[in-house]
Amino acid sequence: MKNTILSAKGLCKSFAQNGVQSHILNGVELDIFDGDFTVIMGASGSGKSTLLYALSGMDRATSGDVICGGQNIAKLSEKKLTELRHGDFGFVFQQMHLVSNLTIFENVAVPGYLNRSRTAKETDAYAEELLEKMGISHIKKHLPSQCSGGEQQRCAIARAVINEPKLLFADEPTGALNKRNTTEVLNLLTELNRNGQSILMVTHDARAALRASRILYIEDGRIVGDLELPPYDPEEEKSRDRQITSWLSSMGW
Amino acid sequence: MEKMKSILTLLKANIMHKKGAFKSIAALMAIITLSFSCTVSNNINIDRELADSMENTDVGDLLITLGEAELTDTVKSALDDNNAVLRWRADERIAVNGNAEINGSKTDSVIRLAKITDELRVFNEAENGFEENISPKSGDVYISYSTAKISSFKKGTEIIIPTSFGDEVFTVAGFTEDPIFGSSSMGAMQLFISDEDYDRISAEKTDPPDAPFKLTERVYMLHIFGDKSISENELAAELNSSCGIIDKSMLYTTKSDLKDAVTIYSDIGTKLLGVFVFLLTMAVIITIHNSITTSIEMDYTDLGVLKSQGFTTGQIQLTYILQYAIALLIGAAAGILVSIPLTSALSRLFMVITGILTCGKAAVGSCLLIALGIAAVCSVFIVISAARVGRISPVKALNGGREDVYFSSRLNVKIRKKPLIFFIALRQLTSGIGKYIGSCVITALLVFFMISITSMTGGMSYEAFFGNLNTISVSMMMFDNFEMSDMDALKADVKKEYDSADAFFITYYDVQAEDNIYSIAVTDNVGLQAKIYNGRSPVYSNEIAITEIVAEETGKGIGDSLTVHTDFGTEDYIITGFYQTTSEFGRTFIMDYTAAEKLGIPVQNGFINMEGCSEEDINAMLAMLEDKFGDKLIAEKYEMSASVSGMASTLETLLNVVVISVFSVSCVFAFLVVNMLCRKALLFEKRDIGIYKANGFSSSALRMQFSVRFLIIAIVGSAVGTLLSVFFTRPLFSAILRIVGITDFIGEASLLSLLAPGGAICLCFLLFSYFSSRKVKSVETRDLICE
Repeated sequence: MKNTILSAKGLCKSFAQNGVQSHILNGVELDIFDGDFTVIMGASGSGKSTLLYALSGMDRATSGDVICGGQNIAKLSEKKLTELRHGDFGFVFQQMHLVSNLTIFENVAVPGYLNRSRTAKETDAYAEELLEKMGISHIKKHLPSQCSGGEQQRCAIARAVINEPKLLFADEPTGALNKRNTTEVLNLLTELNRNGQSILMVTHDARAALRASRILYIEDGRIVGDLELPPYDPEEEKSRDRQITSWLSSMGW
Repeated sequence: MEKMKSILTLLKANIMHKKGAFKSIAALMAIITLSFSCTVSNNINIDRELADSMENTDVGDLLITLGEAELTDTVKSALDDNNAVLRWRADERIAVNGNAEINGSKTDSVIRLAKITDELRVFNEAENGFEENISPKSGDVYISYSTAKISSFKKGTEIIIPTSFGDEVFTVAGFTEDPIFGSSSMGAMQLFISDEDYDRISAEKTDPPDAPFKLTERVYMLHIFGDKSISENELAAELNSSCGIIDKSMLYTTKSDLKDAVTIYSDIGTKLLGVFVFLLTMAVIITIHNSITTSIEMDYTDLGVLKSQGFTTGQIQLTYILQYAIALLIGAAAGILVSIPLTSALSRLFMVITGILTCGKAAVGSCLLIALGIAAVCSVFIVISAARVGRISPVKALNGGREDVYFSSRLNVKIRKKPLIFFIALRQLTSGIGKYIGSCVITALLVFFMISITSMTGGMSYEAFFGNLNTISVSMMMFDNFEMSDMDALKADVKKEYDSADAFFITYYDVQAEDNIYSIAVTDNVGLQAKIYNGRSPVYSNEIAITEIVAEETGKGIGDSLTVHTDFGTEDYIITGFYQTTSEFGRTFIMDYTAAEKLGIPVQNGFINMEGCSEEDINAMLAMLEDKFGDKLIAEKYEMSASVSGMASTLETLLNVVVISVFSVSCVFAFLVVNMLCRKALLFEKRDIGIYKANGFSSSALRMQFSVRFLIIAIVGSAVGTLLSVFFTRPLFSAILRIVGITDFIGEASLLSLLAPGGAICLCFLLFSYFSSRKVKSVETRDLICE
C-alpha cells in the first residue's frame, strides 16, 4: 500500500481574458504517491503545466483543494507557502532559472542555507556531494552564463533537492536541452527516484515518459488516464516504449 | 513633419511607460528650484527695497558722525574743496552716551535721537506698508521695526533716556524703516522723536562740547556723496588725509558696508544655498544618467526594433532629451509655484532682521532663468548619457543581444549562511556596482553638506557673533582723568575682591592704513580679545595682529610692517599674527594699549569690562570700585541689551531653520533617488526575485535584501561624505563666511555632528528602500513559467 504525499480534490483553474472565461482545470482529482516517478502528459494547452503549478503552490487554483501533509496548499498563506518551498517541495523549471550572479555552487547552496536543521558546513558538504553526483563539481565556481544548458539544468536539479524535499516537481526539464543533455538529465532524475525521491514531472516528450513509474494523462483540464508502470529498466526500454506509445495512442495522443 | 510626429508619439509613449522616472526627475528638479527660489527671491526683494529705502533717506556714500566741536570750518572746506565729493550734508543728531532703559532693562546700544522728517517711513498696523501720515506728539518715539521685533518692544513700551539734566521718558508710538541703523546687525538705534521734543532736549538737556563727561551731546551725521570714479574707502582715506575727518569721527561707515550689514544673513543664506543647489544639481545629473543608461539597457530590444524601422540614433536620443527636459521644466515650474507662499514667509522672517519692508513676491523671472540654466546644464549630461543609443545594433538587439544585468565582479565575497541576506545583498551590489556608484556619490554629497551645515551651525556660536558679551558682569566708563597706569591697580583690586574676576580694557578707533580706513581694537589683553590662529599674539608696543581680510586688502603678511596713520601721528607696526572677528566684518586689527599710546591715541575714551564675577558678588564689587575709583570711572552692572539677546535667539532660530530645511530636503531627495533606483532594480531583477521566491525566500527577506543593499551604499557614501567634510568643510565655510569676517572657520566637530547626518541618511536609505521594494510582494513564481 503506497503512501499518498499529495492529493488534489476538485481542482479548478480559470482565466478571464478579454472578458472571456477559459477553464484550464476542470475539477482535477488525483493522488501522488510516495516514491513514485509520476509523469503528467497531455496535448498542448491541456492544462498540464497549470496543474503542476497549482499542485506545487507556485500558482493558486481558482477552487478545489491540494492536500499535502495534512495542509491545504490552496489555502495556505504566502508565508506558509514559502516554508513549503524550502522544505517539502523542490522545483525544476524548463528554463533552468539559475541566479546569474551566483556561481553553480552558490546556486545550489543558497537555498540550502535556509534550512535551519543543517549547519553551514553541512550544507556546503551536501551541496558539494550533489554537484559531484550531478557531475558538475568541476564547474562549481563558474557562473551560469559560463555553463552549457545541460550543466545548468543539472545544477537546477541539485538546487531543487538540496533540502531533500518530499516531492520534486519538474516542468519540462528537458524542454530546452539537446538529445545528449536530455538523456543525462533524465538519468539523473531516474537515479534520484531510485534513491527514494518522489518526482512529479510534466512533459510532452515520450522519451522522458519512459522513466515514469506512473503516467497521468490530462485532457481538457481533467485526468482522463492513469497508467502504472514497473520501475524503469534500460534493458526493457523498447517494450516499455511500445506499451506507453500504445497507451498514449488510446488516450488520443 | 512625419518624423517629428513619430518622435512625439514615441516621446508620449516613453513618458507614459516610464511615469515613475519622469515624476521622480520632475520632483528632484522641483526640490532644487524650491531650494533656491525662496532665497533668491528674498535676496532680490531685500536688495531692491533696501536701495529704495536708502534713496528715500538720501544715504551718502560715506557716513561719518562728528562731535559738535569737530565739524570745523577746516573740515567743511576740505569737503567743499575735494573734487571727488559731489555733495555733502550734515544731519544733526543727539548722541546718547549713557545706557538708556527700555522696558525696565538697561541697553548698551549706541543711541541717536533724530527728528521725524517727511521721508521717515512708519510701518502700518498690518506691517505690510507704511502710514500715509503720522502726527507725532511730545513723548512719542518711533523705533526701528527690527529692534522692536527682536527685542519684543511693542507700542506703549517705555524708553528712558538719561541726561545730565534729568531723564527723558518716551513711549513707543510706531516702528520705522531705517536703512542706516535699522537692521539687527547694526548694534545701534536711531530713535525718532517729535520736533518739539528734539529741539527742547537739544537746547536744554545736552552737555556742552567741553564737558568732561557727556551723557547726551549734539553730533552731526555727515552724508558725503562721492564721485563714482573713486571707491568709498579711497575717498574716506583722501578726506582723512586732508582734514583728519575719520580720526575725529565717533562713527564711520560706508554705504556699501551698511548694505552688507543689512543683507549679511540673506547673503550667507544665498551662498549656502548656492553650494547646496550645486550639490543637488550634481545629484540630479547622476540620477538622470543612471535612469537613462538603465532605461537604454532595459529597452535594448525595443530600441533595436526602432532602429530597424528607420529611426536614427539622433531621433531616439532626441526623445530621451525631450523626455527628461520636459520633466526638468515641469519640476522647475512646480518648484517656483511652491516657492511663492514660502517666499512670503521667508520675507517676514528676514524683515525682522533687516528692518526693511519687503514685498515677499517670488522673483519668478530670475528664478526661471536660473532653473533654465540648471536644466541646460543637465541637458548637456542627458545628451552625453543618451549617446550610448548609438551603440545599439539592431541585429544584436533583435536576437536578444541584451547584456546580462550583472557582470562578473572581482569584489565577489563568498556567500555565507549567516547573515545570508547580507551576503546576497552584497553580491547583488558588487555584481552591479556601476549602477550604484552614482547613488553612493549622491549619498556622499548629501552627507557632506549635512555634516557641514551641522558643523557650521554649531560653530556659529553666540561668541562668534557677539564676542564675549555674555561673560561680562561689570562695565566701567572711564573719565578723562583715568590713566592707563591706574589699570594695574584696578586689576589688582578686582582680583583681591574676587579671585576669579578679571578686568580688561577695550576701545575702538578708526585709523588709516595703506589708503584704507580700518577700525582697530585697543586692549590691555590681546590674548583674551583675539584668538590668533596663525603666528603669535602681539607682545611689544610695535606689534599688531591683523585679520586675513586686512592682510588681503593691504597686501601685508606676518612679519611685514604696516604703516598706521591717525590724526595724532604715524607709526610702523610689525604684523605678528592673524586672527578673525566678525567685528567690522573683519576689516579691523588689534593692538596692545601701549602700541596705541605710541601712536598717540587717547585710550581713555574706552571701556573697562569685567568677567568672572558671580551675580551675588557684583554689588560688593561695584561698591569697591566706587570707593576706590569713583572719581575716575563709573562702574555699572552689565546687562546685555534685549536686542543682543533677541538677535542671538533670532540667529539660533534661523540656523535651526537652515539645518531642518537641509536635513528635510536631503531626506526627500534620498527618498526620490532610492525610490527610483529601487524601481529600476526591481524591474531588472524581477526574474531573480521569482527564482529566490521559488527556492523558499520570503518577500520580506527579499525586501530586506534590498534594504541591506541600499544600507551598504548609504554607509559607504556616508563614510565618503564624512571624509569629504573633514577635508572640505573648513575651507568651504571659510570662503562662505569670509563676508562676515570669519576667515578660518572652525565648526563644531563633535562625534554626534559627524555621525548624525550619515546615520540619518543611512536610516532613510534603509527605510525608503524597504518601502520602495514593496513590489517584491507582487512578483509571482508563476512568472517563471513557460507555458
